Amino acid sequence: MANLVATLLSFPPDHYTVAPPSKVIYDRDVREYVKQLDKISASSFVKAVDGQELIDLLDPIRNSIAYLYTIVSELQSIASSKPKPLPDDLWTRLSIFCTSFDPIQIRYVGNEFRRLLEHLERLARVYNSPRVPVQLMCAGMLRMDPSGATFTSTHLLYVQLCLEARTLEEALPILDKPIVGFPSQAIKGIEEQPLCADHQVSSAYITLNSGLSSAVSAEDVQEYYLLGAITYIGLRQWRKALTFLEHVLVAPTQNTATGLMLEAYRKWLLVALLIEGKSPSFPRGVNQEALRKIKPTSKAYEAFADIYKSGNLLRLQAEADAGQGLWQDDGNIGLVRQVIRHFTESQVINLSKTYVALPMLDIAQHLGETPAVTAQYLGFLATSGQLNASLERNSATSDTSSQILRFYSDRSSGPLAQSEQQLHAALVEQKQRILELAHQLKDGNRRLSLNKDYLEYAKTRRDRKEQARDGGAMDLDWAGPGEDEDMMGDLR
Amino acid sequence: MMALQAFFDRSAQAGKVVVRDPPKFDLESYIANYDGRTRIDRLLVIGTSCPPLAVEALRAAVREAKQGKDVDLYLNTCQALFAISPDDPLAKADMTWADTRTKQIKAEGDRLEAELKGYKNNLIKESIRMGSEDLGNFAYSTGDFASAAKAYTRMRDYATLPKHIAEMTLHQTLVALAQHQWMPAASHLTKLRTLHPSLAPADKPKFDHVGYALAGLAELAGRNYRDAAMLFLRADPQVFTAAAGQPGSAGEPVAGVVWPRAVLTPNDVAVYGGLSALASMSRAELQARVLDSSMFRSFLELEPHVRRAMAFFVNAKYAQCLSTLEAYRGDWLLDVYLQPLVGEIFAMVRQKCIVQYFEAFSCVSLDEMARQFPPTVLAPSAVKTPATSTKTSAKDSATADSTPVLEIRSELRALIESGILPARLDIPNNNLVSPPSNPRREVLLSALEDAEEYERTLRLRLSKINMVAAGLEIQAPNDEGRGRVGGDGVVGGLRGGKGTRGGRWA
Repeated sequence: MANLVATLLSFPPDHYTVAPPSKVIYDRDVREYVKQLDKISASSFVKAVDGQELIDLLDPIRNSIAYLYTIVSELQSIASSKPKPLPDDLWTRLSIFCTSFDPIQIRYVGNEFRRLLEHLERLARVYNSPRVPVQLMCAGMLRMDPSGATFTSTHLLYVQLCLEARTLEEALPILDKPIVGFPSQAIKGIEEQPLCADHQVSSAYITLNSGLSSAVSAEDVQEYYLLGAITYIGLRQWRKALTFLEHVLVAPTQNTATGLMLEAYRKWLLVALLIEGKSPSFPRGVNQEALRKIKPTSKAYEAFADIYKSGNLLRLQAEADAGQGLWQDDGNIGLVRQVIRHFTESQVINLSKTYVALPMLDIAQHLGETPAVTAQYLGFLATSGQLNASLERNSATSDTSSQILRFYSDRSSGPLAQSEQQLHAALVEQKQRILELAHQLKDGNRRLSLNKDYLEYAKTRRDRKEQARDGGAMDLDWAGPGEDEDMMGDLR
Repeated sequence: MMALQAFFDRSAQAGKVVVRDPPKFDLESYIANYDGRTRIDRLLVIGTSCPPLAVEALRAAVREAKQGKDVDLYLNTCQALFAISPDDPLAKADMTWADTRTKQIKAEGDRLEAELKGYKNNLIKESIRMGSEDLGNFAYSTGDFASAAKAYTRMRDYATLPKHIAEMTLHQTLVALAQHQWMPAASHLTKLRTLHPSLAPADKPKFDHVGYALAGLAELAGRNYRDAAMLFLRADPQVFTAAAGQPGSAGEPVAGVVWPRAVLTPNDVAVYGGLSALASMSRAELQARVLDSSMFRSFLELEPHVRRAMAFFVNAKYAQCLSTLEAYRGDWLLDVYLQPLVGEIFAMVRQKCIVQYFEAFSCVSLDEMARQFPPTVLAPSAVKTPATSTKTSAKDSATADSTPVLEIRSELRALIESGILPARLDIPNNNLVSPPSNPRREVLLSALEDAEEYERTLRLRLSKINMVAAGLEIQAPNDEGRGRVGGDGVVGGLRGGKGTRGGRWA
């Protein structure tokens, strides 16, 4: 038994603290260590050693791998035995581990780590307060991959969990991290850097072999985006919801459409009304053939959007009532109600395009309400940040109907003013995001260029070019040495 | 007189155009400019829209129709005259004349058909072509436009010269215009212009000047004001006026028709062209293309008030421009082609005037706007019942000036809402305020917007690329249906119901 403890503590070896090892040596040592751990049976981890629990001998930061093995074994034994109250210190250990483990070590034991997260997910479902396991899961995922940029099977699991447990805002730390990579097979001969190396993108170590994610399908990705969009809709973050829905729509497809795309398209139409008041143009890159299959089945939604544009509240309401059953079945009834509420709001907001100021009575007439109700409504719009306007009271009387609503010309004045500095800051931030994206785009491009199909294509093209050169033709494709153009450079 | 009054009251109620004040022109000298069908058409329009001239115009129309070969037209004019003046001797249709004329027409038609048949047997192309032309001309004169068009189309097969085709096209245009088919007329004339290079040099100007003027008319009637203006501007006044001939003389026919007398006179070109230009061009364009055009100036000299209205507009004297146009509203409402367009054209000019006027200011009181653009002048109600509306406006100005302000307010609101006028209303202070301009801010905002859009596109692109790179592509289903939207539009079940899991929270 002492032997077991010695094995567990054998990594990292003490001499690492004296002289940090090279990546290659570290890689070799870890692999050797994991091989030894795999030989140990799961039951030995949960046995007490000398009256002390094994896990208490381990340091979650230093001995992350051993700690993980132990805690997963413990969770496993709890799961397989009869239901009983969870040990008190389990939560403490889990939270210490999830917030402090060494992510480099964990890269080597992806399978175990994934099982930990899956156990957490299961606990969240049975435990009467899901918030704690949900938060731990999130912390663990983000400690493993702080960029959160590589999609894993846990991502989908997590969003599902947040929706079911109705802890929507807990999903945001994960959802707000844009996904740029997907677990795939490492390409032989090219991406053979050790796992512990400083990778620029997390998808370099989150591969199918790593075990950090189980195999994912395109439908999994679509489902993640759709559920993410539903989360954003629940939190009334329309713009993000719209982008997520578009992610579902642009998924690469062999001219076929999925039910998820259909659902996304319907929600997309409604959310677009909330943002722009009309159907926006389709994002570029949507498969037209797939679209052609989706559209005929969503006529009711398209009709609803058309009526919204025509600007008649009564007709809109009637259409919403007529489709009641349909919206209900599709789970879109809440969105439809939201769209109708938004319709009146946008009518008032649009008044600011025509008027600088106008009497309350006119607005009340426009909305078909009494001045008192209107005043209240306008106050609500102004305080909720949708209306850049103020109500002016006529000093002579205190009657609400004599009030005047004054719109501010644009966002340079009024209660919702944005200063130029703020705008500039937003722009700089935006630029940073785009530069980052451009970087990722390069990486994606590189990976695509290593694709087997592309290589074959490139080879035939080269062959053809060589043939042409043999015939004496000049190589006209040479573009010359050039730097990448810095389009945003002058913004600094 | 009673019948006349009743007839025009009914028309006004039905929303038809009624011009109660006598026009500025003299009917007799006006109609002397025209020949053929258009003469009766024009007389009919005046007769059914203008009470002071109605009887005179319709009597002239009846006399005119009786000399022609179109029996239906004669009967119609008689009926129109009967409606306003039942006791008039001319209003009683001469049925014996109608019978004999019908028989004569039948005989002449048969004769022409037989002749054509004879030509066809002889296989002489030119004879067949001319025979068809005669038949077409004859059918046109009897009002049988379908047969006329058919006969003219037949000419194409026997044409030997480009000139023949050009003539045929003009014939077809005339038939289309008589039927008020503007689109076919315009397309015939487009064809005529493509023939231009192949015509003999001596024929070119003749066909050109007719072609441009007619094409302008077709576009004008089809409400394409800008195209119409550009075409009218290309018509050559010298050739066109010369072709009209002196009063009394015949003028020079093209394709057997003296166009400036059969369809539109040089004066009409000036009015039609001028109004289309006013409705569709900016101030700078009007100056450069119309007022400074040496060609069109000669036309404008015939109608100096059109020129004056344009000059007022160019010189930013909008109120004068509008009142000049307004003075001639009655005249133009009695024009066979302009009648349905006058209201629209005036409204367009008025809109342009308001927008241009306001461009120079940052804030104008609505009272001032109402003074500059008196609402009742061009309000739609004035088109139908000018007499009553002038009465009310007189009363308004006497009692209170709030109504014009209210009217201009709703007019301005409509202009702002349709995006034509870049301004906003300040109701409590009764002002029209121009939008603040803050170019620096606008640039920042638009940059931010572009960048956001760019990021969105980039992100979606990247997502797609990465999915492809990872081999995550939605495969075409092997068995139709399950989990997918099939090609026949049937919605398959969602994947194990998982997809709708979150729906409850939506």
